[in-house]
Amino acid sequence: MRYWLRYATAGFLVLAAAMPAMADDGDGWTIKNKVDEEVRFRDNVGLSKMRTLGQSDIDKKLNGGETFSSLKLHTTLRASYDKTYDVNPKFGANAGGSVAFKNNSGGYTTWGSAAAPWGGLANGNNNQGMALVDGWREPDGGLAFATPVRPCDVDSRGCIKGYMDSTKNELAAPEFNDRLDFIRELYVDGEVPVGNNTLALRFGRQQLVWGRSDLFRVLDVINPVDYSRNSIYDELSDTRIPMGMLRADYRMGARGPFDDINFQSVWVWEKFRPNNLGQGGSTNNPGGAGAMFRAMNNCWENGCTVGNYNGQASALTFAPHMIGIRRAEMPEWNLGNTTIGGKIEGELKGVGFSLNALHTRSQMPVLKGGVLSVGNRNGNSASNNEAVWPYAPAFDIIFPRISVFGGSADFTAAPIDTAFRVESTYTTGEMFADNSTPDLVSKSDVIRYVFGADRNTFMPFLGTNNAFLISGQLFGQHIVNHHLERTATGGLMGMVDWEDSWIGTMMIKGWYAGQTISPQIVFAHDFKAESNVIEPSVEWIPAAMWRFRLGSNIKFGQYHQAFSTNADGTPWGSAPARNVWQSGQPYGNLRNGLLGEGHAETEVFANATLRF
Amino acid sequence: MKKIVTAALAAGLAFSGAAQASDVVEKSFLPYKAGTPENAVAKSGAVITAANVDQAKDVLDPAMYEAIKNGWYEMKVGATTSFDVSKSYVDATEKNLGKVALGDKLGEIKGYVAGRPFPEEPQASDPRAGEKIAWNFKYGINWGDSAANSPTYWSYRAMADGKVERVLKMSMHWLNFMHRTGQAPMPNIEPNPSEMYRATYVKVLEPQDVADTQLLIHRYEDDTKLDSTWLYLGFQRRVRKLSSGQITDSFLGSDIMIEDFEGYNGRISDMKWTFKGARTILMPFFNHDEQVLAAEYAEPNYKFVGFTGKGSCFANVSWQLRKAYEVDVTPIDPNHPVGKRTMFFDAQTMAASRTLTYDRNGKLWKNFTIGKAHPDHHLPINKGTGIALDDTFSMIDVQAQHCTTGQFKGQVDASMAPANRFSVDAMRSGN
Repeated sequence: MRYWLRYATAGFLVLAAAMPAMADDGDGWTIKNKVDEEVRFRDNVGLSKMRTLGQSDIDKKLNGGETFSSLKLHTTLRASYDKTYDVNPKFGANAGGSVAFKNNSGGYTTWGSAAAPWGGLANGNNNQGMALVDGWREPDGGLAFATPVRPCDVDSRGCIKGYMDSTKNELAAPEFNDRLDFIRELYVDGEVPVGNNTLALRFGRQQLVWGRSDLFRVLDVINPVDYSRNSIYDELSDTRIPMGMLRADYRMGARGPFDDINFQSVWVWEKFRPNNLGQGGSTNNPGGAGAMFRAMNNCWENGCTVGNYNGQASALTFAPHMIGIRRAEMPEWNLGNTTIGGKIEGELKGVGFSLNALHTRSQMPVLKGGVLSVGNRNGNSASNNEAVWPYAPAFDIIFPRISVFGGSADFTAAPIDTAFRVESTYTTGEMFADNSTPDLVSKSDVIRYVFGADRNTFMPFLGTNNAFLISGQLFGQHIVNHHLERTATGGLMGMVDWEDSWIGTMMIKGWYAGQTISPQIVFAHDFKAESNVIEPSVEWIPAAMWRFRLGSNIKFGQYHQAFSTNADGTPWGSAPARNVWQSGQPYGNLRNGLLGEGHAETEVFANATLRF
Repeated sequence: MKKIVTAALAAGLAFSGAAQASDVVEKSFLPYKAGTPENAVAKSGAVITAANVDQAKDVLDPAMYEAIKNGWYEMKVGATTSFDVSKSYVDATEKNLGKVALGDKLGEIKGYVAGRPFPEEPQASDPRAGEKIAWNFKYGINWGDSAANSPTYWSYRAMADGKVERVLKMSMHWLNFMHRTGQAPMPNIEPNPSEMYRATYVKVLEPQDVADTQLLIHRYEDDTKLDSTWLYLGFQRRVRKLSSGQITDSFLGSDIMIEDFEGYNGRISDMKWTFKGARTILMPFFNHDEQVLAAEYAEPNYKFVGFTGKGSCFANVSWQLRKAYEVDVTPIDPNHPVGKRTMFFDAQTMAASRTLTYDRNGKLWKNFTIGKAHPDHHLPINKGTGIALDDTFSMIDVQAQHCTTGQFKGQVDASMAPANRFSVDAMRSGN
């Protein structure tokens, strides 16, 4: 039995044993249900979501006896099915087709037909069910890859075991997997009076929210997030992946100079889970990672044809185990791999604050080179030996151990009727792509921060007596140990990510007709990537049971970011010969950011929710 | 019970040896000792309708007069009864009589300990009389030291056809951290480093789309200090500190803003308070157990007040002639959505049972009624508390022809308002 499941089972067996003493106190069960239908449409692929979702939130008050002042059991059950994978041939079992790469010299080279000086593709790695990764890149824009796009039960090529290997049913019904995600939350919650203080305990699968920001996360990093559902655009409470935790809050109330002071410790005992970034062929491809990783894993396992490799005039075909992603090192369950953290949170002279610390694993993947690969495709000589070749584009995906130290604060500024919030973290142990190091990755500490301001403003000229909520945020990231240098040929060598980057968000939300109609605009701009997204929508609540929402999510602006130039992509030529990963994929993608990489996912959407 | 309290008060005053002081306090808390007000039309058992409202115009505030004149409501009249205020609160008033004074600036007070700060009869010649009434309201008996209103149902209604568009089921809780006179610890809950005077906590239970929304308000002893207000949104699972703009916005789509809670839920220093005079008018004070109660939401041992009139926007309760202080309450902030409120404070309890809200163009916008039930004719737990219970409310947007009505189950029960319920972190837990 899986370790986390063993712990969960043990925990609930203990609870079950105690249940006779926790008889129903008469309050009974509280059950809230909802059915949600969402349809999304893109002009480039047609239907991109046709999901039916059902969710039940169930609470049961328990008699806590002499020990607990309150005790309850909560569970959230969720099931969904996205029919897109059945009805839209662009996705699912018949997705993809044949691909060809544009050549610098003109014309096209089809998958598998390029020169193969080191051997050809593995049997079965045919030019079927394929799609170009970021097909918009021109041949002089760096490497070009192609990925299989059919679900992993239909086409196993490029499926990374334990990480990005979903079957069609798992893509369509993501709650039904080996992590039992249909049990979205299941916990026991109890409060124990300790003198004038309160010890609050919550054990089980749950969400734990830190911080004060929307859309992007700075402190809110305890639960991983399912970005494959709708990138960053769904409510985080719907996209956080609940984890099995033991959480303890010691609430002291007012003490000393503090109006409120509380301590929290958390142990995430469930086996590590990364953020869900989809996979090649899933309807959403946040950050471009899913498609790119599948393409590269297919390169490793089965060989691949790569466009513009090394600035060649035409595509080249690589044999297996030469380049690509070998595997994802998914952390096994052991105590050392669990997450621990704590925070102090309180109020002091009108300022809400928190100090937070978390020791965990990065939920975002890191491509780390330095693995055994065949040939030295990034060196000065072309060997066919298997060795750990410096700078070779052969990777494992890892999730490094990181420590996050941070804090947050919020306060109101009465003269301008505005509530402000700030949040910042200092993270150690993170790793970033770096083409100046032999394994193409280096560690750096990172500072992340967000400034937010919320103001309710009356704008009677817009025909409503209700105030509009205007909410702005500025997110920043600073890579502390960033380094980058010019090469002799004028290119760049070093860390690919921007040393400093910022994303600004703005939301304006209004209410009409007794708050039954609510128009809203959300706008985000990535200052470095120069990419944007705007999401206008209207929500209509004709009755408490019903909610309808109509809107669009439009990406625009730059998405052609590059890193360095292809002039440096000459590994068989002059020194330093380290820069085969150049302006296109994947390094350019890293500079596009989440907004830019989503450029192909502009869509209109409609949503209906029935609650009962 | 009220006789006992009255007798006790009289005895206390007699032994005090301060005849003048006793007279002030007695007049403040027992305005009907010498007799109840009378009116030729508004007699007990009468019904004021469009047909006879002109004869009762003098005992109606302008908004209720218009409502009855328009045929929206027929007002039942009950006998004037004394809503004797908690003895401990009256005693505290007596003890501190004459020791309280206004500060130099609006929102400042000196020497206040407990009880009614300014029991003296307000004088039209006193330019700050309105401000003193505001302090009497802020430090009023209200819900006592702590209480809960649980559950409470808010119904959003279209006035034209009475269609109920939405019903919110909520739980509301109050706790005084300072100036406590009835429940231990007294006078203050310690520690209280920020000198918080009072906290209000609201949790939405239904419907599902707003369920688990929680509101927490901390009001400070220093009236010039802005309230701290937080909102927990269940769908976000996050606590947000609210800007003051949200305090004056519609609360969850209702006709009520957070600033309207309990008549006025804001700082004294945010308003200009102009005393317009003492009046005898019909106010919604009644005995709960003598009303025609509603079948909806009925519990085994409790039924809620019902509604009647146009769009079922008016509480189906009896009104009684009472002494009230009329005060014009004008926002100092020129951008405040309200142009002016005219508030009628019940002289005996200082309850703000009638409020007329005008928009910035001076046109009547909202007609706000808070129905007060006598504690001795309510749930057993409220008996003898000397706290006039908020039992119902009606906020009518006369411009939009829309209303929000409230049905309350008030319980003066300290166990329903423990101090640890009023912390941000407790709210953050989502429970």
